[in-house]
Order: sequence, then structure tokens, then C-alpha cells
Amino acid sequence: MDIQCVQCNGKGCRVCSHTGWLEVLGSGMVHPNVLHHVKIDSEKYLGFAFGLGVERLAMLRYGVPDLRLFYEGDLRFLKQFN
Amino acid sequence: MKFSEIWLRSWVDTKLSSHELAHALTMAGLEVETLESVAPPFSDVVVAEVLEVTRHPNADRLNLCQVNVGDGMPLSIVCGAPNVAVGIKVPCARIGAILPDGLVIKRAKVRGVDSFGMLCSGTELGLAGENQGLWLLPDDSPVGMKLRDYMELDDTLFTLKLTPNRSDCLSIAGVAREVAAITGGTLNTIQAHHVHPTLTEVMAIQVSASEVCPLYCGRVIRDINAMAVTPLWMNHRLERGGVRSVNAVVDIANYVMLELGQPIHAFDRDKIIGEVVVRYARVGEELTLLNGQNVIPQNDMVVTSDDVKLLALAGIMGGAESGVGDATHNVFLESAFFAPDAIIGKARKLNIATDSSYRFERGVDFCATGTALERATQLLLEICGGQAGPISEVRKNLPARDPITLRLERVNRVLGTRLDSIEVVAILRRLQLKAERQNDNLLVTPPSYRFDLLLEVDLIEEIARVIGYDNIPAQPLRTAVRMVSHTEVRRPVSRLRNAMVVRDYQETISYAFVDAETELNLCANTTPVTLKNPLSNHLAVMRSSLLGGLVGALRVNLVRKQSRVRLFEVGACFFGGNYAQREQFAGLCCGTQLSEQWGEVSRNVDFYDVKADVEALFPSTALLSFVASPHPASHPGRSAQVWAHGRAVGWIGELHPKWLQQYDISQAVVWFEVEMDALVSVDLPCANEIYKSLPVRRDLAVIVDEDTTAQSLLDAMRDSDAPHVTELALFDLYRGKGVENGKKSLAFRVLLQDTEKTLIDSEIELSIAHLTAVLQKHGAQLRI
Repeated sequence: MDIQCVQCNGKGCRVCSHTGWLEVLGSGMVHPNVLHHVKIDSEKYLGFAFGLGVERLAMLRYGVPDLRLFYEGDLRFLKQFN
Repeated sequence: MKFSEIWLRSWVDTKLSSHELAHALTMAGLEVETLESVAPPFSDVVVAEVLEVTRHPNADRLNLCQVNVGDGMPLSIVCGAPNVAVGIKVPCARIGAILPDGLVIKRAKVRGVDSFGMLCSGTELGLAGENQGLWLLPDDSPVGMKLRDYMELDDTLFTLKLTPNRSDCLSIAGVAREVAAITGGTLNTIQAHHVHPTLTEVMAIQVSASEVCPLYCGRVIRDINAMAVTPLWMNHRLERGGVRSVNAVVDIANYVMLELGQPIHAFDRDKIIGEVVVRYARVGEELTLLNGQNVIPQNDMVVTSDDVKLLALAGIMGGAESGVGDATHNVFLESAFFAPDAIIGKARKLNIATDSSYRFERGVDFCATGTALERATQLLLEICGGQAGPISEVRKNLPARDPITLRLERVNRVLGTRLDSIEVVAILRRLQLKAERQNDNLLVTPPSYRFDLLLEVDLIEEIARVIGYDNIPAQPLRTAVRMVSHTEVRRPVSRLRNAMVVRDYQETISYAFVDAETELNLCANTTPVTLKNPLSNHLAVMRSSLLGGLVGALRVNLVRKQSRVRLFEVGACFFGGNYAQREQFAGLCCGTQLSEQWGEVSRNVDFYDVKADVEALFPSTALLSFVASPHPASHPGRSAQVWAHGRAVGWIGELHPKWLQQYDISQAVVWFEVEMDALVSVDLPCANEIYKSLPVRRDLAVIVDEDTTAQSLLDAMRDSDAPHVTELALFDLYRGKGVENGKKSLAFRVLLQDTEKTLIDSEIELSIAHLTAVLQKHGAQLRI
């Protein structure tokens, strides 16, 4: 699933490789074989899967340039989010 | 998969523009990764022939050329390129031409001589390649023709990021088929050219590994001209498909692979001794491949051999010895189907990646094997001449395509659509999927080129793709809402986080992976949970404590000149043995207790400051106590175990000086870590009677040895059950004048009360005497 590029509002820029879109998460319907392996009747149930990295979304939302900043614990970074 | 748009459009008619086509492909699951113009815009550049070259009268490095641009009047053009020569064909920008950099070509005087245009290099036209002077065009280039038309420069390069299941789209024919299905455009299938053999020579073929190679086709073609030049149009398509030109024969084989998806290999016929055999490799066999790499195929790999030697790694790459070169006169063309299971992983094992193995691993259309061979033959005869022999074919047990039952009701249930059977059949027809009606259902047989259609859901996915995911109506989720129970005996973690933030801490997040040394140093953990596939050596084991991450974050901050650091982290910790996982809460402080200010004397944070922070985290009913006890991370005399709810739940301490030294920290660091469960568990309050009478306060001051803890005295007094005592607390600690060295003075506050009546002096004295006796029993000396 894509969202409109947060950098250029969909006009196209370096961040979105000039497509205007940014991929934020993968999503889909669960393959019946997967349900079968966990003993769920795929005739009866349909599965939906979707997941996104919380860091990636936070980077886009708050304009964080580097994912590593989230894990370093640099106070100058942390204090911006009080 | 990279290809030229012009080539694709020769296979399928569609009114969509390049961008619309790219969007349609992406939305149907064939992601167009990039879309690039083959050449930047420029105008009025034509093919020209240099007729005459004379030295410029006024400049040594310039030449004056007479150039034929096809309109009968040669142009005089001054040229500085060193490779200019009579007879060459080059691009010429005529007067009025606009080049990619914006330069407009005008009639100009160059050192006193008139020049009526400009001869161009590839770089000047914005095309890749080094600037090695003029761009030399083929000798047969038509003079006067627009360069953009001649070189097909108004073309767009598509790069598809295909998912591994769509091997059927690894060819122009496959992508065209897909475009036709998605857009409803007409497919211009190239007719299968059947080449009538003019030779009788048949190559003997023997396939012993038939489960791996169910179909092998080959034919001999004699008297070819291996030095023939690859036609320009083929060169363009190969280059734009990401394939380098080698020689005409190899180029034709590659061209057919790009066009139809079937890898073709050409052997030098005269290097094959005896018959061609497809079999498993034997121990000790060796082969030098076309790329010069020497390989020893393992015995689960399939090879092609003749009577005396190996010819090729089947489906992966041909051998150097039997390859086609300039001296080749006769070739043996191979077009075969190798089963994906037999090829997958083999090339990687040998560290090779080829276009051929890439396709065979994913699945090649076994019904196009013969067609591709005919197509390659036809092109070879056209370009290199020669006489073709009949096709010999060995065929056994090709993969079956079992019909799949497709239930209309299931299609609509999975997709949330309301399609009827006519619509579904129409969609399937667009995808060239044969459907037969069977009661309410359809029986669908996938074509040979689709290796990914095995189950009913696979067909449903196809239907969704053709409809377009965007065209499936969005519907709000409808569900019954149930209240989630919220228990009063668990406090929310957000409350703990807020408590720490209020106390001037910052929250950090560290990796749950740490290095084994940190675990050993700070937790004395010799058996951490180790990772099979760590990201790096420093992240090789799972943490059993949050302390390692906090110390890491502290060091980051100290290096960056942040001297006052107060951090906490909430996270899971992992324990070996039975692989337990537990949420923990930890904090760490370093630097001054208060940030720089003027109201208080500045001092560094100490054990007791952090102890107060820990106390603030616990519920008041937790029965908290701190018991002096050594911890591997802590200073031996400044370390305590935290007890709550009657059990040990964590640690508090000052980091051991040896770790300060090892981790290059110059100030004292106080840390704590407690189990999350102890912090969030709280007893349901049970109201006690409110005392009607006023409390009586008595203070007890005692002198004890340094090593006697206040906690031990408080615990002893509490355990003694002295009557009427409702509160006991330490309120003073004193060392110095009036107190002997090695001793300290402690003062306790005692509140006494009765629920019913006011206490009389004798009752009070009795209780205090009781407590005094307990204190004395523990070596305390009453201070008067």
C-alpha cells in the first residue's frame, strides 16, 4: 500500500523516486496453505494481513532522516518529542 | 525484466500512453520500477556522410569537412574531433537543431571559416558512453535520415520488478499477453515460422535425466557465416533488454530468449563428438564455462555432454570449448525445458547467475520450446545464412496442468464482488484461461506458461487483477463491538512512563540484541539466548537485562558532550534454558541531580535519588524494601536487591568502577531494573477504619555500627508487632561530632494510635519499651 509522498505532496521528488508515492506497508489476503498449517478452515475463514514498520511511518510523519536515530538514544533527538 | 517499449508495442496494440501503460501494469501486480527515455530530447540531427576533410587554414586542431546530409548540397562544417575521416557516417546537427543541453546550432564563423552545422558525439546527444570523438554510425546508415528514427531513439525503457511467481512475463511475448489481458488490447502473435529443413543431418540426442529435462529439441545448421553483423534493430532491442552484443549467433539466441522467454543455446557443431547426452554430472567431471569460470558440477546437477566431454551446465551456461566463435561454420541449436525444481539453487551454489538459469528456475513455457527453436532458426538463416536440418526432439512426462474448480460464489465471497458467471468467463478468456462450465462451477485449465496457478484462490487473484484492485468497492468493516475488561489490579504501563517523564527521564529504545560480552559483564550471563543468524557480532545474543542498552545510549550521549543523562527503557528480556521472555523496566542516571540552576547546591545524582525514583514507580501497597546484595554490574557496597509483594523483583545500584573504566565513563552512574509485573500489579484497596483519635508521635534515636542498615531495624520493629504502632519511618541520619567513628545515628518516627480511644501514657510507654528492646537486641544503643 502506498501513500502520497509526504515530501512533495505527490508532485514527484527524490524521496519518492519521482513517482509521487511512498510504499508504507505490505498487505494481502492470507494464502489458504498458511491457514491450513495452523489448522484454520480456509473455507470458513478468510485472513487479511497487513503490517508496517512503526519507524518508517514515524520517519515520514516527523521528517526523521535516519532510522538509526530511533535506536541510538541521543538526548538531542529524544528531547524533540516531549 | 527490462525492455524497449517500441518492441512491446509491436506485439500488442494499446491506445495507452507510456505512463498509462506503466500504471496499468503496476496496478495489475507487475510493478514498473522505472520508466526512462532512451534519449533526451533533441531535434534536427540527421545521418551524414563525411565527403572531404581538409585542414582548417587558421587552426592546427580543426578540420574543415564537406558533409553530405542527403539534400544534394554538401555542407561545410568545421570539426575538432580527432576521429573525423573521409567516408565515415556520423550524426550531424543541422542549422536550427536544438541539442539536449539547450544549445541551438547556428551558422557560425570558426576562426574565420563558415560552418553550417555540427558533427556530434554520443555524449553531445545525451547518450551514455565515453566521449571518444564522433559517434561512428554503421556504414550502411541511410544518409539524411533523422537520427532519432534511424536509431529508434523515441523509445522508452521499461523496467519491471517481477514477483518470482510470474516467470511467464520474463519475455516480450509474455508481457504483451499480460498487457492484452489487462487493457483489452489486441495481441499480434508472431506466426510460428516453420523452417523447411534443407539438410538431412540429425543429431543423436539421449536424455537420461528425463525427470529434469522432459523436453529437449535441437537441430543442426550448416554453413553459416558466424562473422555476420547483428542487425541494428536487434542490437537496439538487446541493448535495451540489458543484454550485451557478442556475435550474431549468440545475439540471435539471446534475442529469442528476450522475445519468447525460452533460453536457446548454440553449440559449435564441429566440437560435438558423437551424440548429445543430457544426464546427471559424475564425480570428477570438470567444465570451463563460457565466462571462463571453471566448475566442478556436483552429482545432483544436470549437464549436457557428448561422447568424450561435458558441453554445458544444463539450463545454466554453456561450456567455452563448444561455444560459437568467429571460426564456427556449423552450429547445433538447443531449445529445451528443464524443470524448475532441478535448476533452482544450482547456479547459486556455483556462484553463477545467468538469464537462462533465472528463467528455468522460475518456469519456462514447455509448449513454446519448439516454436522458439524455429524462430531462432529463421533468424539465423536470415542473418547468417546456412542450411537447417530437421528438428530432433526427445519428450517424456511434461508437467501436467490439472483443471481447477472455480466456484462463482467463492469468487464473490473472497473478493467482495457481485460478478456473474458471464463476467467471470469473459475475464478468464482475456487471460487465455480455458473455462468449462460444470453445474454452477467452472473448470479452468491453466496454460503451460503459468506455473503459478495451482489453486482456486490463484484464479480468484487473476480475476481481481483484471478487474483492478482499485475497482473493488471499499466497504466499511462491520463487526460486533465488545467491551474489553479493564482490571483494577493492573496499572497501565503508560502511567509508569509518565511517572518517569515527570521525574525528568527520557525514554529510549534499544535493540533486543546485544553482544555476548555485555551480557557476561553486566549480568554474569554465560548462557544467553544466542541468535543463529546475527546481524553482526555486536548483536549476537538476546538481552537478559535492559542495562546493556542503557549503558550504550549513555556512552553515545557522553561522547556527544551531553553530561547529564537520565534514561529509562521498557522492554522484553530473554532467558535461556526454557526460553522465557519477561517485560522489564529499567532506568539509568548520570551527571547532576538537577539541571543547571541557582537555587540548590549542585551535586551529582546518587543512589538515594534513584531509590526515590524507584519508590515512586511502585504502588504504595507494594511493601517495598531494599536489601543490600551484590550484583555483577554494581559497586559492591552500593548495590541492593529490590523486594516488593514479598519477593525479589529487581536491582538498584551504582555501576561498578571497573565497568566505568571499561566503558570509558568518567562519572558515577546509578541504575535500576525491575520486573514490569511487580510495578503494574496492585492489590485491590480494602478500606480500613479511620482513627477517631489523634496520633501520638514519639521519636527514637539510636547509635548503631556503620554496617547496620536502617532497613534491618525498621523490618525488626515492624515484625515485633508492638501494640498501637501505625507508622514507622526513618527521618534522620547523622555521623560526626558526638558519634564515634564507625558508628552512625539513626532517628525513627513512631506514630501510635488506637481506633477507639485516646492512648494513655502507660500504653504508649509500653509500646515504646517494646520497640526499644527490639532495637537493643539488634545492637542499637539508645541516644538520650
